[in-house]
Formats: sequence, structure tokens, C-alpha cells
Amino acid sequence: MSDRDLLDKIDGGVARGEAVLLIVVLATMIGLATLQLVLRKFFSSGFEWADVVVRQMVLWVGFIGGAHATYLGRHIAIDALGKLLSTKKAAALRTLNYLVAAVITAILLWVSYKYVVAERGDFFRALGTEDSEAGQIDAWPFDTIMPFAFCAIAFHFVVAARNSFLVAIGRRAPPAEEVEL
Amino acid sequence: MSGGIVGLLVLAVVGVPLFVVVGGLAMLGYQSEDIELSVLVIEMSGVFSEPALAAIPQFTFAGYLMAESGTPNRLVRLARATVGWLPGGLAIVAVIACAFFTAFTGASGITIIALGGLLFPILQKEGFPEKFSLGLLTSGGSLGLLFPPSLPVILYAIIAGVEVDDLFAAALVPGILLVAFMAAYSAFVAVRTKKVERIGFDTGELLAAIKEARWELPLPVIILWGIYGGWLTVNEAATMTVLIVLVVECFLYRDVHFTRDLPRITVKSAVLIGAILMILGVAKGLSDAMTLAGIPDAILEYIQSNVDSKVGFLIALNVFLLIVGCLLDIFSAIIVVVPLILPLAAQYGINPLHLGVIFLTNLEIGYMTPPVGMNLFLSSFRFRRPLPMLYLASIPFITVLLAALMLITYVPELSLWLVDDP
Repeated sequence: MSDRDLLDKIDGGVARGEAVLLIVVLATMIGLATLQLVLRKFFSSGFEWADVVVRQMVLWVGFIGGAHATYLGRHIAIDALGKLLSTKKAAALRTLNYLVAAVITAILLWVSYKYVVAERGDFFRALGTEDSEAGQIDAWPFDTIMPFAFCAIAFHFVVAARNSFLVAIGRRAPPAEEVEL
Repeated sequence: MSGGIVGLLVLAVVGVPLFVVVGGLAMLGYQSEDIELSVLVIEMSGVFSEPALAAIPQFTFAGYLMAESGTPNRLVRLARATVGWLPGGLAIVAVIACAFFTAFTGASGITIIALGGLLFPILQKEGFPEKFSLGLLTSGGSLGLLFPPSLPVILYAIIAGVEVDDLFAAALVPGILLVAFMAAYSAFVAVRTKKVERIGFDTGELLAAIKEARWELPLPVIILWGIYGGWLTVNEAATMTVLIVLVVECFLYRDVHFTRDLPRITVKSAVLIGAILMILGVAKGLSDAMTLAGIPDAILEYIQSNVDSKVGFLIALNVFLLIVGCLLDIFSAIIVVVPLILPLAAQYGINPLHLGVIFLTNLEIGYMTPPVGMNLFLSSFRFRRPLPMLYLASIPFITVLLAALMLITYVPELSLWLVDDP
């Protein structure tokens, strides 16, 4: 693709990073869940922390997957109107949509950033109950995924808005619709 | 405030991703109650501490693995060898294959993409009208939502605070009823059009199909036995499914290459998981904000003073849920709407398990209800047909399923029959 510029390349680079992280995180989740299953069923034991970490990996898959879904334009949306408009008008509408989405995501980025900073410095949130082994695990390192993911999401939305704008003013060909699993 | 709400709803209709819209609504709600916005973040990360939630990514991953392997082919072959000889046999095959696949992939729309491309040409070739085939596959895309290990059932149980296995037991007969209604309608159309040829029953083919699917056949047995037998929790069943599917597809059938295909499939499934969980997180925030604003109480009061009978309430509930079902995806609908209707239903003496079955059946139909049911878009995308054509194609199926919904709603025994202690 010749019309990919620096912004597109950065966008793609971030997305590749997300993909690698997704594989690592899902593999960790399934690995730990398997370990727990084997320990429980065959040795009647298991680690409480492993259950807790599996749940935090769900949080990570959710947020990183959410960022990657933004890059691929695969978030659940009601796209009835876009399908009825001409290509350029639909692209113009999409530009506005992505901009609004970028603004709201930026607010979420700010709110979650402040929350994690406070959680790290001002108070202690444990992942388990007080007298459990998981009660010793600090929650903030796991929660840091939220501001990072919102940052990636906002960035993907901005790039998507820019690219839709280029389509709307006829400077770029519309992306081909793909049928994918 | 109300201007902001209307603005956000308009944004949803013109195509802004729903998680952004719902997140915006939640933040507006918190702000109007003078509550710090960070509560939304707490709610979002809080959803993930629900133990049963870990089942969602695992079942979705397993579903994608199956969708990308030869499972759809083997499943259709087996279903065909078993029930293909019936009148309208192939349509019934499609109904059963869709139901099975939907249950195991969490009703995320993957059924239409995975099975649609396989079944649509076969249905056409065997003489089923195009409109019928499109309608069948569009509505088939959410059929099976009531069977284990369907994710919406699990999520409903978590949110409503009922036992997951009780809800699966309650949903079994209604689920079979929906499949039976669809199958009966298909047989009726096949006989009426007279163009559909019938195939004979072939024991050799059935045995061959069973032999071909031998590694996958134990999966549903282990999962169902594990969950109903109390031997596996839902999470453990999810992990078990992932392990079985990984071994079967990567090493026994070798449909999926461990290093060439698996990373790609992992990322694809994670994208869907992300899309679902992001909405889930913000929907929890919205639900919380609505509770703080006293909306559930206001609705309760309004309904109580306007609806005086159980039947009246059930009718209103059905209409309301059908609208919700075609506007929201099922996961956020569960999180946002269930806390609103639970206290109402209790007032009118409706069993929470029966309510769950009504709720999920309504949303299942909402998936295919024009103008914005998700299955319609997926079908339009997959089969490259204009939306209005799919609207027309799905109307007869919606009518058939609505009839089943009426039975399920007004005959609670259908839902409570298999539950030990309703």
C-alpha cells in the first residue's frame, strides 16, 4: 500500500504490539487455568493467587482486545445509517463518529490514569481478602492496563478519524469490505 | 443532562461504537449525581473480579478454534447423516448445527460467519428458496443460545444471582422448543415447495460420519456431564473445553497449525472478547449510575401503578425486551436491564429462573429483529445481500419464534419442569 504514511505505520506498530501481548496474556491465562484444573482434580490442591491472576488476565485480554478491536474497526456498533449513505458521505459520518469516540475515550484515559496513580500512592487495594494469600497482591500493577489501553484506543480512533476524513475528501480509496471470521 | 443523553443516543444510532456511548452515558449519570468519575473505572475493573467471567474468553477462544478448523464440516456431515432423511432434512440439519455451534461459541454471531458460508450453498443446491435459506441462517445465528455452555446464560446467572446450573436446567426445555419450532417450520416449507429432494437414510454414511467426528464427539458429553453433574465449575468446564479443542484440532485432526494458525486465531478471538468485555465494563458502570439515580425504583413505582396483573406485566416485559434486544447486544442488555427488571418480576411473583429464560429468549429473537438486530448485519455482510432483503427473509422465522416465546412466557412449567427446587 503506497498511501500508508508515518501515522498509519505507528498505528500498525501499536496494533502489532497489542497482538503480541494478547497472545502472551491469553496463553498465561489458559496455562494458569490448566494448572489449577490439574491441581484441583488430581491433587486436591491449587493456588489461590492463580485464580486471582487468571481474573486479572481477563481484565487484560478485555482491554488489550478492546484496543485491537478499535484498530480493526470491529467494535459492536449500530451501523445502519452508514450502509445507506454513499461512500463519501458515510466516510464523513465516520470521521465525526471516530472523533467523538476519541474524545470520550480520552476522558476515560484521564479518569483511569488518575485512579491508578491514586491507587498506587494514596491507598492500597488488594486482589483478595485480608487474611488470604491473594490479599497480599497489590491491585494497581494490574489496573495500569486501563490507562494504557484507553490511550491506545484513543490513538486508534484519531487515526481512524483521519483516514475516514481522507476518504471523505477523496484523497484516499475507501477500504475494501472484507468478510472475515 | 437530558440533552447529553439524547445526544449520546443519537451517536449510537449513527454508528459510534456502543462501548463509547454506554461509557459516556455512565459518566453523565455519575456527574449528575455528583459522584467522581473514577467510580466508573472501579466498576469496570470490578466486573472482572466476578469468578465466572473467566469462562467467557476461554469459551470464545475454543469457539474460534473450532470455527477455523474442520469442525463445521464434520458437524454438518454428522447432522446430515442423522436427520437428513426427514422432510426438509437439510434445513433441520442447519437448525441443529447452528444451535450446537451457537451454544459452544457464546452466541457472539460467529455461527453465521462459520456455518453460513458452508450451509447456504448446500441449501440452495438442494432446492430451498433463497429467501428461506437466508432467513433460516440469519435466525439460526442465535438459536441455541439457551443451551450450555452458552455465555449469556452464565452471565445472566451471575448478574441475577441464581445458580448457573439451575438456569441451564430451566432453559433446556424452552431451548429444545425453539429448535423444534424452527425445524417444524422448515419441514413445512420443504414439503410445500415440492422442489426439495429427500435423501435416504444411510447407515454406512452415519457410521462414517461418527468415525470422522470421533475426537470431537466426547466434548459436549464431558462438558454437559461436568456442569450438570457438579464435577466441573463453569470456569473449569471452559478450561477443559479449551484443552480438548486445542489437542483435538492441533494434534489429532491437525486442522490448525500450532505456530502458523494458532497465534492468528488467538488474536482474532481476543478481538471479539475485547469488544464484548469493554461493553460489559461500561455497562456495569451505567447500571450502577442508574441505580444511584433511583431509576429502578422509579420504574418499579410506575409499573406497579399502571400494570395490575401478572399477565399484563409479562406482555409489557416481552414488548420491552424485544425492543431492548434489537438495540443492545445481549451482554450489555443483561448487565443494564436485569437489575431493573428483577425487583419488578419479584413483585409480580415471577420465578427468577423463569424470568431468565423469558429474558434470554426475547433477546435471542431481538438478534434478528429489524431494523438493527445484529444477525441481520452479519448475514448481510456474509451473504452479500441488502439488508431489506434480509428483513423480509427473517419475518416468517421471527413469527415462528414469537409463537414459541408466547408458550415459554405463559407456561412457566416449561422452564421449571427440570429444576429440582424452583
